[in-house]
Amino acid sequence: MQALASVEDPELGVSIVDLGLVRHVEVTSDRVQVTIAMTTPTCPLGGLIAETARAAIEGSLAPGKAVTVTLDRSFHWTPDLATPQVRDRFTGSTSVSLADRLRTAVSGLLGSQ
Amino acid sequence: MMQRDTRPLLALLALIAVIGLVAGLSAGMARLGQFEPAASLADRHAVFVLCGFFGTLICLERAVATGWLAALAIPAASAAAGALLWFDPLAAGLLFVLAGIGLAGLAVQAALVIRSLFAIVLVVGAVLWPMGTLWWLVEGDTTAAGYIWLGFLILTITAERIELSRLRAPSPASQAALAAILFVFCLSLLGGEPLAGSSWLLALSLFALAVWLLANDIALITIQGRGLARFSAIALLGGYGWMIVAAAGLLLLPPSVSSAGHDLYVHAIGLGFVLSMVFAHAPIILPSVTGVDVRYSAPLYIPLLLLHVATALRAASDLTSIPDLRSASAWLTLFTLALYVLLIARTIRRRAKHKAAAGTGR
Repeated sequence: MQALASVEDPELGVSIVDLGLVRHVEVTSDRVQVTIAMTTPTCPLGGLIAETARAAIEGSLAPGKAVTVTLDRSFHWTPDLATPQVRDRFTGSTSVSLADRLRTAVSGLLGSQ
Repeated sequence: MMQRDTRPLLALLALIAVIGLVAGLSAGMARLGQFEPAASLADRHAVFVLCGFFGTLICLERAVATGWLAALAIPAASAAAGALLWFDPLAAGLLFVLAGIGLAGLAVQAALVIRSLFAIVLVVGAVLWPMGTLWWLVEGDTTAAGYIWLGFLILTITAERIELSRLRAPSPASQAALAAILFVFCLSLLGGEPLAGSSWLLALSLFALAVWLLANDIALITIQGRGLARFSAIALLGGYGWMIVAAAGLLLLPPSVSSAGHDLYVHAIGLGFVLSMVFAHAPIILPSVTGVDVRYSAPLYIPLLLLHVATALRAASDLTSIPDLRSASAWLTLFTLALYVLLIARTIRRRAKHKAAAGTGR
C-alpha cells in the first residue's frame, strides 16, 4: 500500500489510496495482485494509472514476485470512499478566498516547480 | 475459427469497406444535386478543427476508457473522415455522422450504468456532434453548424468537470441550478441561437455555466497544488474566463448581424476554452490513449500563456476591426501549437534517456 500511496490521480494530485480507488490487494509468497478503479468508467486514464501502479509496486519489491494490477471498470466510485482528509480538502476550503488561492499558486510557480 | 490476433486487421478491412460505401453514397447524392457541403478548403476549417481534430480526440478517449477493442472503430472512423475531408467533404461528413452516432452510443452505454447528471450531459453533448454535422451537410454552410459543434465540445468538457467536481460536494440546489443552465443552453442551440436573431438565451446560459464551473470546479483547489495539477487548474480557469468573454461577445456583437461577433465567439470558445483544456490534459491523455510516454514540464506554461495572448489578439481584432491583429493572432496560434508539440516531444526524449541510463547502470 505504501508503494500505491505514491501513485496519484494526475488530475486531482491525490493518491489513489486516499481516493479510495484501490479496491483489492492480495499478497502471496510469489505474487501481488491489485485491483483498482477510476472515479468514473468513462475516464481514459485507467490503463495509465494501472501501469504506474504496477511499476510502483515492482519498484518496492525484491525481484521474483509477479505483480498484476487489474482495472475494475464496473466499480461505481463515490466521493465518500475518499479519506476524510481528501474530502475536507476539496469541500472545506470555501473560506479561502480566490485571491488567496491565486496568490498561493503564483508564489508556488515563482518559488519552485 | 478466426485467430484472436486477426481481429484488428478484420476491423481495419471492415472500416475501409465502410469508407468506400460512404464515399459511394456521397457521390451518388452529389450526382443528384442533393447535398452541397462546403466547396472550398477554407470553408472546411471549422470541420477540420472541430470534427476532425477535437471530435476524433474525444472519440479516442471514450473508446480507450471502455477497454473494448471494437470501440476503436469509432475514433478510426472519425480520423478517416478527417483525412477524407481533404478530397470529399460529403463522404467525410457522413463518416463523421457515423462516428458521432458511435460516440453517442458509448455515452448512452455509460449513462445506463452511471445514472448521474454528468453521464446525461455526456450523452447530450455527444448527440450534438452528429446533429451539427447533419446540419452542415444539409445547409452547406459551417457557420450555423459550428455553434452546435462547439456546444458538443462545451458539454463534453462540462460533463468531465462535473464528474470531478463531485469531490466538492455541490448541494442539491446547486446541481439543480446546473441542470437548468444546461437545459437552457441546449434549448438556445436548438432554437437556432445566435444566428436566428437573438443571442440572449445562449449568452446568459453560457455565462451562468462559466460562473457555476468557476465556483464548483476542483481547479479552485488544485491550483494550490503543484506540477501538472496546478498547470491544469490554471489552464481550466483561464478557459472559463474565455467562456465569459464569449458570452459577453454574443450580446455586444450579435453573430446574427456581425461576422466579427461570430468570429469572436468561435475563437474565444475554440481557442481560449477548448484548446486550453487540451493543453491542460495532453500530458496525461497522450500517454493514456497512444502509449507515447510524455509528461508535464514547467516550460509548458509558455505556450499556455501564448495561447491566451493569441486568443486576446483575436478578440481585440473582432472588437476593433483591425485586421493586423487577426493575422498576428493566427500566426501566434500556429507558433504556440508548434512550441507546445515541441516541448511535449522533448519530454519523450528525456524519459527515453533516463531509461537507457538506468539500464546501463550510469
